[in-house]
This record gives sequence, C-alpha cells and structure tokens, in this order.
Amino acid sequence: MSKGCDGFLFPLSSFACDYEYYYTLEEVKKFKEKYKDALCFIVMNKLYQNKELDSLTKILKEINKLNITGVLFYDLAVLQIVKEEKLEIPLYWNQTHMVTNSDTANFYFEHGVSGIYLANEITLDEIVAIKHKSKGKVMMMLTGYPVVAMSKRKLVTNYYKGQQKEIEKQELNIKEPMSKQEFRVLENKDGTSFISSKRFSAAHIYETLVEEKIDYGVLEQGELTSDEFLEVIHNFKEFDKERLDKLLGKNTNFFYRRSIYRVKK
Amino acid sequence: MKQVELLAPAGDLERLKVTLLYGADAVYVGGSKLGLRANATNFTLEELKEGCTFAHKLGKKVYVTVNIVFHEEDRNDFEEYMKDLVACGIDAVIVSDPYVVEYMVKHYKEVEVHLSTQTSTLNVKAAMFYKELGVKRIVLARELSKEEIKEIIDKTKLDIEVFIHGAMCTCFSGRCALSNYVTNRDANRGGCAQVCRFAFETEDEHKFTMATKDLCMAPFIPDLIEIGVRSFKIEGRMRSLYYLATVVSSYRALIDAYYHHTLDETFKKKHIDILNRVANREVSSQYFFHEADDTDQYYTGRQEISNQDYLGLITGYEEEKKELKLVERNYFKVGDEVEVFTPSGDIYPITISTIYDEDHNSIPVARHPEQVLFIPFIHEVESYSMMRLIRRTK
Repeated sequence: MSKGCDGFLFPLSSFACDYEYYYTLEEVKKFKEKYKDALCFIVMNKLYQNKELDSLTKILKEINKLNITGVLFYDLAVLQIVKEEKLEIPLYWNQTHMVTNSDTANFYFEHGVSGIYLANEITLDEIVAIKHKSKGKVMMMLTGYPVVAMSKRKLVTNYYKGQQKEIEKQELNIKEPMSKQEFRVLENKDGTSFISSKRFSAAHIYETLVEEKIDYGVLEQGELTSDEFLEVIHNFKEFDKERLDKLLGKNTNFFYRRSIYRVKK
Repeated sequence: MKQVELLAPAGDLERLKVTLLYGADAVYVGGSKLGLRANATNFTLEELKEGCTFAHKLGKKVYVTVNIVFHEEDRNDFEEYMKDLVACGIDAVIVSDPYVVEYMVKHYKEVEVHLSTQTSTLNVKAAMFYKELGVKRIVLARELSKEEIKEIIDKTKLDIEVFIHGAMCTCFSGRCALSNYVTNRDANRGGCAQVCRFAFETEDEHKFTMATKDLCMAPFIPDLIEIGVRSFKIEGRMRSLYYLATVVSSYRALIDAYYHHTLDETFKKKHIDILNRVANREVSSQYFFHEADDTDQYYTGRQEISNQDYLGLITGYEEEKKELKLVERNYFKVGDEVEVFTPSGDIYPITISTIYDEDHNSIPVARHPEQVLFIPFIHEVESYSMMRLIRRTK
C-alpha cells in the first residue's frame, strides 16, 4: 500500500475460480480491520450448482455486514440473491470473456450493479467506447496472465488417468504446437482453468486509460518477486513506461488486435 | 398431456424442410448475423420467411439464434435486424445477452425469448433471474445432472430445454476463449475453432487432449420426459441432411413410442443402433448420471470416423416402372442390403437387385457421387426419403 496500491482483490475460497490462491472470509475480515481505508474486493466468480445456493446465500449475508468495496460475480445467482435478500453489497459484473459492450453493462447498472470488470479480449477502442457509454465503474486488468477457459471437467486428472498413472500434481503446462501458445492448466475440486502463460501489460495504453478515467486497474503478481511487484505498483503510479516494459514485457494482448468471426456471405 | 418438443438444427432452407418433415416439432436456425455459427450457411431474411411459412403450415416452429456475446460494433444495426427477423414470422429468439432479453420482451411480446446455453445456466437462482426478466425458456448448461435439471424445473416452473444429442464443449459455454488465443477467432461471436479438439504438447512425451465424446440421450428419453423437460435439442447446425434426417427420425420414433407405451428395449436398441451408425464419434450421457470423467473424453487427439452409410437421396418415383429415382451419395452395389427410410417414419429393408444409370443401362456398381440412378422398388415414397446401407455383400 505504501507504494501506491489502493486495495486488493480476494478470491474467496469455495466461491471463486481461475485463481491460484484463495482466501477465507476470516482472512478478508482481518485485512479489513488492519487496512480500514483500503479498497477491498471479494471475487466470487464461480458458476454455482443448486446444492451450493444455501451456502452462497449465507456467505453473501455475512459479506453484507463487512462494508466491502465490491463483490465480483459471474453467476447471476449472486445478483438474484442480493436482490431477493435486499442486501447492500456493491456488485461488479465479472463474466470473464463476456464483458464486452456498454449496453449490457448498462443493463446491469440498471439492475443494481455498481461496476464491471472488462474482458481481456477486447481492443483499446472498445475499452474507451465502453467507458464513455457506461453508467457505472469500470475495472480492468493492467497486467497479469489472462484466464482463457474454464471447464467443470477434471482435465489434469483425466490426463493422468489416460496414461494409467496416479496424478502427480493438479497442474500442467501445455503448448499448442501451431500457434506456440502456452497455457497453465490448473485443476481443483471445481474443475479446470486454463491460464495463458504469456503475461500482458497495459503499460502501452496506460496514459489513455488514465485520460479516459478507467476507475480501477488490476495488477496481478504472478511470478514476480515481492520486490519486483512493489516496483510494478510504483511504476504504474509514477508511470515509468520503460521500466514497466522491462519488468512486464510488451505483450499487448488484444488491445490492438481484433478477433475474427465473420459470417460467410 | 403436453408432449415434449423435438427441436432440431437447420443450417439452410433445405435442411429446415427435411428436419421438419422427418419429425422435428421446431427448428433453430442462424440468421445472417449475430449467431454463434459464423461458418454455417445461415439464412437470408427471404429464406427465413420461407422457412417460417413452411414450418407454420405444418404447425411447427422456427427459432432464430441471436446468441453472440456482443461487442460495441455488433449493436450498430441490431434494432433493425431484430425488426426484420420478427417480420419473417419467427416464433422465438435464442439469446444469451440479458440486454437483448429485456429489449425483446419490451418490444416484441409476440416472440418468445429463449435463453441460450451460452449463459451456462446451472442453478435455480440464476434461472429465476432470467424468468423475472421475461425469459420463456432456458436452454440449460450441459454440465447438469438429472437431479439438478429436475430441481430447476420444479422450482422455477420455466420451460426447460436440454441438449440430447451431438457434440459437447469441453469448457463451460461462454467461458472459453481458447479459440481467441490460439487462432484469433472469437469463440463467443461464432468463430469457435474447436481448439478443445486439438492435441497439445506437454513437458513429457504424452499429448494433452480434452476432446469430449458426443452426447447421446437416446437410452434415457423416459427419464428426461418424466422429470419435466419441455424441449429436446439436437446439436449441429452444420450437420448434413442425412445426419439430421437419421437423428431426427430416430428421436421422433423414440418419443412417440414413449407416449404410445410401446418403447421397449428392442425398439430402443434398434434406434440406438441407427444413431450409432450415423455418429462420427463415440457417445456418452456426459453429466446426466455422474460428473463427466476420464471415460467421457478422448486421449489421442481428434477422433472422427467418416460415415459412408448414406447411399442416396430419393428425388422421385417412376410409377410405371416401379423404380426409385435417387442421387447417389456413397458407393453401393448389387447384392447390398439397404434400407429406404422416409420422413413419415417408414423403413423398407431391401436387397439391391438392379441398379440403372440415367440412360437406364444396368450397372453392377454405383461409384459416382451425384450420379442419378434408378432402383426397382414397389412402394412410392415421399420426397426427401433416403437410402442407407445395412450390410454390404461380399
């Protein structure tokens, strides 16, 4: 925090996915007590099964008492429960690859949502347009390893079973040979997440993001040491592009690259 | 008792007609834009209008997919496009975006809004959110068990549609951008390159694969009907005419047999065998009875079998000569045991005694796809009847 970080995102154990580390609500509470003025977001981005709805309702009621900055959600069960139970939790729409336009963002704002966490697969022009037209807060990742996919299947377990071997660890590194794209494959009790092995950095567009008043930028530590990560925070705050490039590389992900999908004529 | 709907895909107007004639109660199609099969043929507005007229004359329905995940540019002529679709006479739109749900409910009360499986709706609360928004039907996520589906039906009282047959995604629908990262094709805007069917390198000598087997719920039709599923969806807007005719007619037969109390194990097995022959991958019931596991996927990369059972499309009947006119699709010869099957569900087994070419010369072997041929046959059959192989003669 002394380097300029305004707060933290806490993926909540049993209620979040696609992260490497998860926190209990007790740990979040301790953080809140210690850093009263810090932003505190709780990530609850899992898709829930019916059997999890009671515990989801219970934990949302607990969170409601904590005065946290926001809950990032994927499953609309969260929005529905908050509505039904009349909870006053600021919600952030965080549907990984689906937060891609302002009309849908504004739909959520009109339904009581406070903010959105943009997809990593959109261009800078789209980010700017969404920010201009959206009636709520906009959050995006500034650096980190983008989540690429999530499956309910236990794909690492299956990989080892396919070889009639005991599972060695719940993680694999894989490479698609043609594109040379590499991914980390992380499995836990909820399924399997695919994370790009290529860190991206918004350093090249950071000045535009500041000018456009993007509300929150998320920095992911990943493989960086604590010292390096503190330096990243400091260099985003002071904006030293050269130093950021050195620390984070120059992968601009989809900021300048439109994806293709056209219908055949 | 309201019977379950059989809903089939149609990539073009001909397939729309065939699937309806073969027993689908409704078809789902892609329009010229905003659908999740950008590489399918898809329908122009004129074709869609003709398709709706054709379906409605049969008392059947047409649903149109508008289920992409929108980017800013996709909204440009969205309102005009929706107006045009509605003017074609469609019965429902299949959408994934809650903004579109709200828009359609507000502006077009005459058109039902069905929630696409792209939203991966897995639970009662999420379903209730959409119900309160005005959604009439939800196509549930494919990751649900029988009990979970039943609980959603019982607690929401919504029309629930589930996939019963066809290819599966490895990941949650909507929650996969593998195609974006590997091929730069946007999976959530119809460009999915099926990267989950690729083989990946690992740090050891074994390839990492995750390609799923296909879904086949034919053995469990009674289970699905009895828990209250409202619509059975067949996957595959890019599938062939023969595949669709075969799959639709078998499910039609199974559903009808259930309601007529004639669905015994022999009948079931007969149709499961037919479905297995047209399948190009192995099948399983995926999540219906247990969590999908290592038995529900492949380990050696893409596993597709080319199917050559489809021998010909019947295009006419020569009353005087008592001959079928057909357009050849795959090799067959005199002595082969075949079946002629019709849109109305009739199946005629025959042994090929003679094959005539277009000039009525007798030929021993049909070896030229698209060649017009004649086969002696005593029954007049409807257009779009087809001939398939049962057993080759040696």
